[in-house]
Amino acid sequence: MKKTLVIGGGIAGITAAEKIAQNGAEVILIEKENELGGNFAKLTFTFPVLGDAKALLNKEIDATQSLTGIEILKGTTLEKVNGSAGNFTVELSTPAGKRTENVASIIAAPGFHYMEPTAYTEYLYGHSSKVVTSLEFEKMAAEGRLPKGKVNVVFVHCVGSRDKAKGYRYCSKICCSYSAKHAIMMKKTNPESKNYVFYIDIRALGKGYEEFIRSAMEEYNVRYIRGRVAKVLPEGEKLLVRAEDSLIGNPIEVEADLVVLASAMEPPVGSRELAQVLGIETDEYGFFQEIEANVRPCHSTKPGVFLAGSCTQPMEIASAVGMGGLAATEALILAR
Amino acid sequence: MRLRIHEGGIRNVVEEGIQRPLTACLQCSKCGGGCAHTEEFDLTPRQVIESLLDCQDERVLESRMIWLCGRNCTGCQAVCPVGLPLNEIMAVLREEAEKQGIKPKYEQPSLIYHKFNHCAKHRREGEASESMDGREA
Repeated sequence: MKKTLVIGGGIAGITAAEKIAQNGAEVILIEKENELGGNFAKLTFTFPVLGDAKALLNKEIDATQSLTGIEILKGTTLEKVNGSAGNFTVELSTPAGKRTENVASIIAAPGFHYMEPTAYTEYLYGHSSKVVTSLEFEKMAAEGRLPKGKVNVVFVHCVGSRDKAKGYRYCSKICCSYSAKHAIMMKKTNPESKNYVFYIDIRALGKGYEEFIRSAMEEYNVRYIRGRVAKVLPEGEKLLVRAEDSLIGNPIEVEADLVVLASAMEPPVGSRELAQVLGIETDEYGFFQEIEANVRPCHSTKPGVFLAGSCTQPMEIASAVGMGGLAATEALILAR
Repeated sequence: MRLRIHEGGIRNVVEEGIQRPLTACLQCSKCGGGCAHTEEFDLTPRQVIESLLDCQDERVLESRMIWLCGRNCTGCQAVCPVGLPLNEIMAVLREEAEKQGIKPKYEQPSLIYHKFNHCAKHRREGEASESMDGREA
């Protein structure tokens, strides 16, 4: 059996490598950082079930590491690709130097990047330490730094998503659900807190997602207000969040101690360069282009190069795992 | 009162004037949330657009908003996520109102933009009528 190369040690890449090895084939998993886990490793809890993200991920990483047939190369990037499906020669840049390998196929799973909302000065991002991104909120939660006492926390949807002017036209898909998760986490950690979510539409499509959002409203008393936040102003030690409650058509304001911006999921840093090395196409945003969206979601525009996870479009963990498994089966066909 | 929806309103005049379809509006309501004229307006910019799409022409042309909005203030236009030219839309609507003999609701622009009319710095920057901290100057 021939080897497969998997690029990216996030949940999609880990799953793909794990499935290939469990089916008795050999796989090289490369990760450019020095740790496996990708974006999953930055989370505290999952949704719609508040699962312990670290425990879930570590279980997968341990399973992957214990399998024979998987070679994991951290701090490693792909430099060059030659050949065609069934017979690629790949050049890797590892901490120990250059290395050439022959593989039957390549699975690209480089993940995604949370957009840095620096363009959103109207939200005081970068100007106030009380305005953070959702990713920073995860870090604050993990380090026990969520605000204490009687505080108002405001969650802002669609920062960079559905925004042709400053961000991306697309919907990032997971922000509605993870903002609800954050509001619930906030209320659980600090029952004295009052939480507000400003939304345009609530797009929570998945098993248990609608119930999850409803539980944020009904059980955790999170106030959902329909209207995109227009601006955040400093008000003494606090912040003032201004928007329109579009359901009653009236401008409103809420005092806040912390404002959390749900920033868009964008293609991973350097996705176009990686696509060039692989010889595959990207879409208008820099996500990897699948050859057919419905029945060939993990086929890139080049035979023998498969796609997995959020390098193709914004997606949740469950979809990334599913895509990792599908890419693995495609790779196994060429590995035989 | 139930509104009867049809297709023949001044929407077409507006769309021709700005060379863009009004259906670009997401109805996200960011425009109204940041408006400097909250004490005076009757419709927010996105309500003006929705009313135009519903062909509620009279409601729009009789509104105070079209006389308040977009005169040396670009607050809503600057933050519109789809970049709708709200200033131009209001200008077209004022023109249309005048054509139909509707008297301006405000003879003078409100004090906020009156000030900006005479302030070279803000005219030059063409910025929203607000400083960095977001308050009306």
